[in-house]
Parts: sequence; structure tokens; C-alpha cells
Amino acid sequence: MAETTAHDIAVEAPAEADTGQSVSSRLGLGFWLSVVWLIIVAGLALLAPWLPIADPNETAVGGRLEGPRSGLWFGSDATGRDVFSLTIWGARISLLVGFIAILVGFLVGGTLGILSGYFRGRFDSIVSFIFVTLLSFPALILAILITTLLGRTVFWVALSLGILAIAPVGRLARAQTLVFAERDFVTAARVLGASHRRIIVHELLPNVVIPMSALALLGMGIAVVAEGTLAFLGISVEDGLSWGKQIFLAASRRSELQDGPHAAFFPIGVVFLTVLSLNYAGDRLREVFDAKELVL
Amino acid sequence: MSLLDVEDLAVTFNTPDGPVYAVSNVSFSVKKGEALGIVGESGSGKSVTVKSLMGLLPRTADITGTAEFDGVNLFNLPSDRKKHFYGVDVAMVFQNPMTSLNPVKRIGSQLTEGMRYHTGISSSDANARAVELLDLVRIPDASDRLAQYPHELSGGMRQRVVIAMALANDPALLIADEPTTALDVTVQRDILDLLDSLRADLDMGLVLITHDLGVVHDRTDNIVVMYGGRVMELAPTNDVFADMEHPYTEALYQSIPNMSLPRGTRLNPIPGSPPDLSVTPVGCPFAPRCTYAIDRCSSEIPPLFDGGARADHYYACFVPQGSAGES
Repeated sequence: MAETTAHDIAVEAPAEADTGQSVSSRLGLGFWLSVVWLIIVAGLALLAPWLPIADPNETAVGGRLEGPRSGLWFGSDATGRDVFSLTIWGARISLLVGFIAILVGFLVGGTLGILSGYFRGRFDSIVSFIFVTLLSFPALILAILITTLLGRTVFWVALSLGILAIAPVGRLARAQTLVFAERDFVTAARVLGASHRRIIVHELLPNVVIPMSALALLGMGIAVVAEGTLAFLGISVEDGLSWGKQIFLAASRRSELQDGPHAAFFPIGVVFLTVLSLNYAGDRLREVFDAKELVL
Repeated sequence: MSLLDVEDLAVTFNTPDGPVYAVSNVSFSVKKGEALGIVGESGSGKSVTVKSLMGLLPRTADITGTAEFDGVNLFNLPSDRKKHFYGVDVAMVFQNPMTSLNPVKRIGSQLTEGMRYHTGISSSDANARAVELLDLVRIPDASDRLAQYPHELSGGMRQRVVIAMALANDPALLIADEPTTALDVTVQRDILDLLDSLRADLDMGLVLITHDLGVVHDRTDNIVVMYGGRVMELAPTNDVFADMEHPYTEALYQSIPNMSLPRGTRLNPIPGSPPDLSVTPVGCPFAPRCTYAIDRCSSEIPPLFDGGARADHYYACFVPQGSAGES
């Protein structure tokens, strides 16, 4: 009885906190600013071909390393290409790589994690071993290996990052599933005659998805930065300029970086804000929904 | 006619360290509209007994004996019957309402899920039925509750919701596994009274599992007292309290705190600890802790004797303490 009472006291506070305010106001201004920024960036990236901006491959749109001016908002790079246009087109590749990477990580890692946490036994041992192996493998080497062997297209670069996401995502999914699979509501569903599939989809998934969705946003930010790292090593997407490659080109020669730092700093600023928004939004989501979790 | 007839039930777990005899030689029956209390301390096999009936035991469990529900043996139920048996004919209420509701789903959808799955009724009919069920378990403002999440309800309210879920498909038998253990003392009585009146109103069989003799006292028709995976005493409730044959029942009864005794009276706990079930039993499992034990108790397993003041009073003891011992 004492146990129950202590539990009740511990969970009472968040219960009161969330009856007072709506979910959207509890997420806070920062969350919504982040979301607005992400929508702007993603929207521009999606609409790039139809926007009235310069062709990113066209040289001599501006002068050599020309500073920002009206009509050429981010200035131009060493070959006179429009940095603003480059940044928008770069977003297409960077965000796509980040999205596919985290999608792969979630579909494969999430599925494996939930199944192994639910069924346990030998399957769990095998999957956990795979996760540990993936985690112990040097990440960069794996990415280099895949892109070198299979090609440097958007798909393979995204896939190599996605493979790296499998283990951390999968372990979270497994841990969450372990927590909930032991609860009586799962047993109750089983008593009601629910199949494994029904229990996993209807009872467990809604509980596992909340912490996972926060991780998805964080993970996408990490993938965008990781793609930049690969670009810096010269092993990212071959055709087209991702953000990473754009920054790499603008900053690779020291004289250019000194004469026209804007060519590197504008895309760096955009990457910074985008990753910050992804991380912040992910964190807020986790905090707000964790409180609800505690109430149980 | 009996609703549930359990005969010679035995459950053995095959573990890497050898077999564990969790339940042996358990027999009892429940009639329609009747309540049976299964009483015992932790590890007495009461939960394993009902889990075996509900098909909730892991595959390592070896179940023998029969459990007939309406003449059908539960242990070899064809899988197509199984699907619409649990949750329809037999439903279960779990111990901890904190964990028996899904935290991310609204009360309404949790209540209607089982109904819709088994009967395929429309969602508006299901909602109407859900409100009816919440009224039945005496939750105020029932229609407003459907949109709420479990964390918005108190422990007692949650347990009422769990009971409502169990009642969704009009079960003939309701099994409640320590339904009040996780609740505040003040709420426990309400929930027990609710179960009692639901049993009477809906004419269901009720199996009430508890470690507290006080809980079953005036809410059950029959009592099974279990210890070490075996039935110690099985009798109509009134007979048990009027004439305790088994020393264990007596010891359990005396360990209940009694408010009418003078201040400073010490509690009478049972000395020692429950038996190790991985050892092949040779005598009465209670013998090492029993004050009346004779040599025979530790060398021979006592069978269930039919005796006492009335018929249907069974006890597994060579040295009965009640009227059977006097004659």
C-alpha cells in the first residue's frame, strides 16, 4: 500500500500541470519557432525548381566572391554562383539524405527493436548482438565502405547513414517495448484474444512511438551533420551540391575563405539553424510527452 | 450445474534447474452466480492456478488435469474457439490498475475495443454500451469519461474501468486476481462491494483471488485455501469460519490484525517461510511451520479428507483442528 501511495504522490504533479494548459502552449514558443523554420526550409527545398531563383549551376550570376546585395541575398561564390540558390538546392539533397537515413533507421531498427523486445528469447539475443556489433563498428569507416563500394548517389549515402541509425533507434525501441510488454494491459489484450500482431500494433506501438518520434527529429539533425562530414571527406553525394559539399567547396581554399567568408558562412548558418531546430523540437516533444508518461 | 470444474490440476515449470511443482492436485468448482475465494500467501500457487485457466502460462509450463467450463475442457480448446472464449465467456480483472490500462489510449477506445473485436458492433453502439458499463461500475459522469486518458483517473476509478472492460461482453465467469491489493484501503472495500453486487446482478460466477481471509469472509460462497501449490482446505465459506480444520487456515486467520483485541496485543504471524517448490514434495508442505505436525506429516502427503461438521468440507490434514479432529 505504501508503494502505491508514494507512486501517486510522485505522479500527481504532472497530472495537474497538464490539465491547466493545452499541449500546444506547453510545447512553448521555441518549439513553434523551430517548426516554422523547418517548414520554411523544407518548403523552399521542395519548391526549388519553381522558385524565381538563379540556376545553382549557372556561373557568373554575380561577380567572383561578391558580397550580399539586393537580388543576390547571400552573395556569390568563387565561380560567381548564387549562394542563396545553392543553399536552397543544397537543402533538397541534405534534407532528403537526412530523411531517408532516419526512415531506414526507424523501419529497420524500430521493427527489429519492437519485435525483439516483445518476443524475447533467441531472436532477442541475435538482434541485440547485431545492434552491439553495429555500435562497435567505427561509424565513419562503415559509411566510407558503403559509399565507396556501392556508389555515391543520394540513396547509398542515405542508406549508409541509415544503417548507422539502426542500432541506437533499435535499442530505444527494444527498451521501450520491454517496459510496456510486461504491463497488465498487454496481458489483458492477450486474454481478450488479441493476436501478437494486434498487440504490437494497437497496444505497444502507440506507447513506443512517442519517445521514438523525438529521437527521429534528433536523429535527422545528426544525419544532416553526418552528411556534411562525409562531404568534407569528399565521399558524399557525387552529383549536386549538398550543404556539406557547398561548405566544403567554399571553405576548402583558405584565400577564398578569407576573401569571401559569406560563401561558406551562409550555408553554415542555415545548417546550424536547421539542426538546432530539429534538436530543440525533438527535445521539447520528449519533455512534454515524457511528463504524460510519468503519470501512469 | 457447475460453470467451472477444475479436477486434479497440476502445473509444473520445467526450468534449467529442474522442475518446479507450482500447483498440484487442485480441484474446485464454481457455480453460476456463485463466488469462490482462493486464499493463500505469495507463492501458494493461486495466481498460477488462474493463469493456467486463462491460458497465460509460458510454454515451459506443463499442465495436467482438466478444467471444464460448461463441459468444455479449457486445456485442449481448439484455437478458433479460444479466440472468442476469453474475454467473452471468461474475463479477468488484474491486480494493478496502474498498469492494466494503456496510458496512451482513451478510456472509451479501451472499453470498446474488446466488444468491437468480438462482436463487431458499430462504433456508436459500442460507445453507448461503454457508457452503460461505466454506469454499471458506478463511475459518475460516464459519458465524459470516454474521452479521458487513464492518468486523469484515480486508482479506484481506474480499477472500475478495468472491471467495466472485463464486463464488456457479458462474461459468465469473472476472475479477479487480487483486485484490491494495489489500492488504498478506503477504496478496497468499495471495489469488493462492487464486484459482489455485480456478481449478484449479472448472475455471473466470480473467482476472487486474495491473500486476505478478511476479504473473502462475507463475499464468497466457497473458499479454497492454498499453500505450497496444494489445496489445504476447501469448504463453504461459513463452514470454514465456523469450523477451521486445517492448522494453516487457522494460522492464517490468527495472523489477521483484530481491532477488537486489547491494545498491545501482539500479532500472531506464521513462523518460518513458504516451501521451496523445486523440491519433490514428500509430506505436507505446511508441516515444517505447523505447530501440530506429527511424524506422519513430513513423510506422507495428506489426501483431501471429506469431513468436518458438514459435508463438502474438505481438508488435507492428518491432525484436523476443528470438529473433525474431536470425533
